[in-house]
Amino acid sequence: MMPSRKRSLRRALLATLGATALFGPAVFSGCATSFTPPGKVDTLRVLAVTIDNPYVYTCLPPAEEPKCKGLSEEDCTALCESLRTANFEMEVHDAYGVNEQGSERLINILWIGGCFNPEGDQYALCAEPLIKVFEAAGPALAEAIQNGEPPKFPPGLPVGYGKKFSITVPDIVSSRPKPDFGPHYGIGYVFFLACDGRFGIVESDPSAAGTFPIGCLDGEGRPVSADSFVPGYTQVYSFADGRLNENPVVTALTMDGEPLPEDFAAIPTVPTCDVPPQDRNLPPSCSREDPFTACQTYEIKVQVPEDVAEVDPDATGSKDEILTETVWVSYHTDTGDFDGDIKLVNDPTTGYSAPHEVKWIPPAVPGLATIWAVVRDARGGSNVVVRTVRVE
Amino acid sequence: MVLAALLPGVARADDPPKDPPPDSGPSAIPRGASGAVAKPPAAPAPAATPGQATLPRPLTYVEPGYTKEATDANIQGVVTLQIDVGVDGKVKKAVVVGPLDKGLDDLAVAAVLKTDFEPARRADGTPFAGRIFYRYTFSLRTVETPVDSDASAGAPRTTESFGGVVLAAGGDALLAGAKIRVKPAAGGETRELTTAETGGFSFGDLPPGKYEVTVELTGFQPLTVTEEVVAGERTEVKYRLSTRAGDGVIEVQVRGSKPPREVTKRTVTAREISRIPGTNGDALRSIQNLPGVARPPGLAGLLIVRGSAPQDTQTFIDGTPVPLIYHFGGLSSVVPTELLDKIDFYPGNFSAQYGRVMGGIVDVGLRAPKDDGKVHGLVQADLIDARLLVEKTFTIGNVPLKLVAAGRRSYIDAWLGPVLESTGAGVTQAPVYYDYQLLAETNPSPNSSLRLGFFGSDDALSLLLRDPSPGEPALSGNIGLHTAFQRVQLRYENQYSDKDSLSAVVAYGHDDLDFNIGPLFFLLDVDTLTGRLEYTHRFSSNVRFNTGFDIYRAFYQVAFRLPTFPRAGEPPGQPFSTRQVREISQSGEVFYPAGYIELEVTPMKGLKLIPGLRVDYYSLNDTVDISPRIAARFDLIPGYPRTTLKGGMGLFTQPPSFNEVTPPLGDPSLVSNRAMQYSLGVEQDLSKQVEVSVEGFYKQLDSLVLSFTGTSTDVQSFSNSGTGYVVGAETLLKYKADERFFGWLAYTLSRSARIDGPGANERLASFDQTHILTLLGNYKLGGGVEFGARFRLVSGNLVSPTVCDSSGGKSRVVVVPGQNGGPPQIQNVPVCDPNRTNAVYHAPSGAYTPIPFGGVASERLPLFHQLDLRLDKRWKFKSWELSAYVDVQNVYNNANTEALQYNFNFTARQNVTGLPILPSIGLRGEM
Repeated sequence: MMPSRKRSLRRALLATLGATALFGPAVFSGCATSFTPPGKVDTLRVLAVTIDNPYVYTCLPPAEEPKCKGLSEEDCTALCESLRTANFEMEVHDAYGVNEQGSERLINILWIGGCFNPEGDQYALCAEPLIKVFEAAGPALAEAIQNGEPPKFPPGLPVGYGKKFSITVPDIVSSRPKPDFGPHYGIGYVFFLACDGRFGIVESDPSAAGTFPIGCLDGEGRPVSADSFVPGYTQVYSFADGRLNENPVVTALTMDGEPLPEDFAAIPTVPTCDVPPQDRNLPPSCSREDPFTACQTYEIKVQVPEDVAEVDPDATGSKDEILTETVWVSYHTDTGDFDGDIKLVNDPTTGYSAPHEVKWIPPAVPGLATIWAVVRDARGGSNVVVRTVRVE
Repeated sequence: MVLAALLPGVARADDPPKDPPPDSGPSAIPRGASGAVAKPPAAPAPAATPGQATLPRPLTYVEPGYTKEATDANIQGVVTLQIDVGVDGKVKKAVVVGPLDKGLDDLAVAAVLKTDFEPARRADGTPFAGRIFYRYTFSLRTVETPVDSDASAGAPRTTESFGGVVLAAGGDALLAGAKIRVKPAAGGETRELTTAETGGFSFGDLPPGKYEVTVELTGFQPLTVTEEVVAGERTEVKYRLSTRAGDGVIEVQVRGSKPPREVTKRTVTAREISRIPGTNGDALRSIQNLPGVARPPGLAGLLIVRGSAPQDTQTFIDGTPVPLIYHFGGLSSVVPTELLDKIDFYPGNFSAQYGRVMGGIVDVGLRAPKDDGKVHGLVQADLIDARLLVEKTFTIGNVPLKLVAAGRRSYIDAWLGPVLESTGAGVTQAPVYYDYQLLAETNPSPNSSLRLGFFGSDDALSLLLRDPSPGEPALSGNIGLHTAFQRVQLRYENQYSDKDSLSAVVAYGHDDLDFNIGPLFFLLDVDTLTGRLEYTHRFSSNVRFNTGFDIYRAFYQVAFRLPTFPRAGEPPGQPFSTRQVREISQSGEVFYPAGYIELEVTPMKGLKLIPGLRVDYYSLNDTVDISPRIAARFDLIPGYPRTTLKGGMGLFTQPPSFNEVTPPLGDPSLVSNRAMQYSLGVEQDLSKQVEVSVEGFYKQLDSLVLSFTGTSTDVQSFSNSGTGYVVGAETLLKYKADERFFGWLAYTLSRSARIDGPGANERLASFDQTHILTLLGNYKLGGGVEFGARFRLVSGNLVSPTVCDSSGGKSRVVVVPGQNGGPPQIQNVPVCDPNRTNAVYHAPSGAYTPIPFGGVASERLPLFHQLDLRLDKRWKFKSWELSAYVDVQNVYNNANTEALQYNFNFTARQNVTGLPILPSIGLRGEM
């Protein structure tokens, strides 16, 4: 049988050389631990900022405004004021919970608005008004943080503190020239900062191409790391044609088809998965136990109606058909892991996509697992659902 | 043109050779004082037989002499020269390929340069430039025709049973130094002789019977015949040897200029190309080892020439432009090395016959099919692909028709697909490429050639994204890439006379570029008609005039569905895949004609000036570009050791790309990008085998097309507001190929900078590489074994970082204003603050908007260095050859950084490394 053994050896040698040549990149470069996926919340994270009115409504003069038909001038004014008011709510989570000294971390959340129609709609050009508002609010803010109580800002300043914030948008449409093509609209930016520390102005770094002007400082005035500071921004629009944008509707968050209850007393219990954390964040090409086959997995799915996507008034397809919004969902958890964390819910041309669930495996240690699902549309609308699962 | 292959010869018995000239009398051979004598290579031969092509033949003999040092040292031997004989019979160049010590090779070169030759002639008697080997035998005593040493010493010679003469095929050049081996067919001892300077040999006292006779000489195809020795009779033979391809006679010339029309000339032989480690024997990949060519990033098959963008370099196959020259990944070029006759590579300052680009030119020439009447074939397989080539000459009527057909296909898909599947990736179609060539050539007259060719290339890849990537929720499904081109080409060349020649090439082609990812796609189909017509007239030996016309006409169809810029009401920072798509379908045509004139003037010996002018028209933006150019070469010291000065300057223009100039996306008022190029250099022979060339270059760029987003978020605009420059110097120190070794050191120092509009700061171009060093060599160990090594040391690629590199611990000095009116403070602060805010969370999209740390191309990745090794083994059989190789890239497994990768919120960065150690093996059979 010698000839066949020689042939098989030769074949094996060639296959090994060939496999090394081609597998090499995967073997040699792919087994380093990859980054933490965005679905895993293991630091201070802002997961969503929902706005009840992503498109605020700017009324016409009371006599011309159709929404005011039958209303008194006073009632019309109040109605229009409410339609121009955008209410923001932040979904934030601090995975650390406690600081190095063991005491609970107090996350300060600051909102700054008042930047409307910057040149080219570029948010970066809001730096100057942002700093001005911050400096005006600074003394009240510092005092409040020091005393541990809500700040008392000067009236009329577009600034807020805490998880919620409201701003009444002025007429940002008329003050902007009508474009040559496309709808006539205005835009306003709102900035928010979540910080384990106190806020302070950051000097621009001449060696860097850009700097965010407000930072989060520790007790000694040094900037804290990104684990403890999240700056961000969102925006509101207003259209001359009065169009609105509703947030996507979310009906439930299910696990294996069963809605996860809001009532803490009724939350389900699942067993731990014994695959250690350091083995969970490796590429599938490396030889280690795949936790998604070694442990029981749970299907997590956000429930939305099939008509969750609104018609997009300016969007038409190649055959002039009217298109709908793009809608997608991001899943997050503070413990355990997903096999993927972002899924498409609605495609503009093909429509609703039913399979938008993910698989979740529990952590290796018992405790409470929080799971978020944030559903967004491409026009600034969003909705959040949060549930808890017990792991034993 | 190099005379590569002589006419095939057939061994036949003929008249016995003439005796060498006597030692005394009017025709005596001159001797030196100590009895030294230099034997001339051959006596003048009769004129060419009508209807038969001939090699150059010497008409005069110039005594080389003997140096005192050689005489004192008793040096004897053979000096072998490779000489180029011009149409005027003058020796233009002599290169020593087989040297001797003590100045004898210098004497041989000096003598042959003064020798008059009858030039090589075609069958109709037309002279043309030719190259032959030429030998001087230096001896300190009279050399007699060698006889078989096995003949009984002292025994009277009765009958010389077997003898003859060895000549080169196609003429009467006698070949000295050829090895004759005689082996009895019935078995027994083999006898061996070497031919004298007269080409003669003689075996005495061979027993009657049949013998296998083998004749071998370096640079010629070996000859094996069966002869019969009859008792009592002398068998006289005349053997003619044909030159052999692949041993340095056929050159695949990679040239900076097709002499003498450009500034820089580089020559790489077929042997060098097929043996450079890391290139898998691919001729076009060998270009990347020359000075002035930057290392492409990762597996990209790009040519970055003297700081120019990849799209600024154009590639041609036999004068026909093609969209790409490498299969994807740069693993292999679209034309196999075996079909190449030459590669003309112009890194800059190229002739007026080329235009429409500002960078470099690569013009690949396909060789003519072999015309010896035999079937030739080649089969090669390695880990990536397999190739096949077949060629033969047919005769239809009285007309010879030479045909060659070749094809190649990769088979990575056979095993990469399952590998990718096992790693979790979905594969619809694993990467596959193939290319094919079919050439038919004939000679309507002795001075003309007509070739019809069909060639093409196809690359395809399709992956399945089962899940969208983080940050791109709508990007899933199939990712497909397909590029292909085909050309049908007709090429005609005619050397009407010594003064006039015409060349024409016309081609019809089709290009495909298809890309799709999920619901998005880009489809481009282009039908092209290209042509070039060039006429050359030589007014005198000092003035030559070239003029030509070339056209590019294309009919395109483009369709794409791609995300637009954010519309009103759509947050700008959201994922690319969630933006509203724009679907456009468009067709049109492009017409780019051009004309040029050029003069080649030799006002004095050694000086050549080439002024030229090119005029281009571009239909898309209705512009005319006029480009004057001039190049010069001056042989400060002609002959050995040659010193040549060279230089050039000229204007080069490149039209805006299709999307920049075509509504609704583009702006038809744009003008062409421009580059004013200057270069100055010197070439110097350091020894017979070593030469060095140094060249400095400078390019001033202006009217560069830039894109920017206007105040409306839905419009991208273009303008000719960019400027820049490229400055550098390149050096090539080369050991020319000899029988054992070849190698070179190439080094380029350069800087490529851009300025993005008036008032903008200067920045480095994104593909700038300050230092590019390549050191390579190949050595024949003997027994058919060769070993090669290549080492590269290149500056790292430039990146535009968002997260700074905190690993180095570097600090910088800053001056901080004093507090409370105090003096300013000097502080050391880290260059990189690990707590810097690198990105801002954009709530509507859930993604992070990065805040750039440095500007465009502001950080350089670590130095790239890599060692590649190669081992070749060849086995020669009677009618075919087998060779095998092992080529290992990145022998010490250096983790070269090719790019940066960031996490989702830009708080961390990671180096993306290139290929690890990568062995490859191949087998090749050739007949």
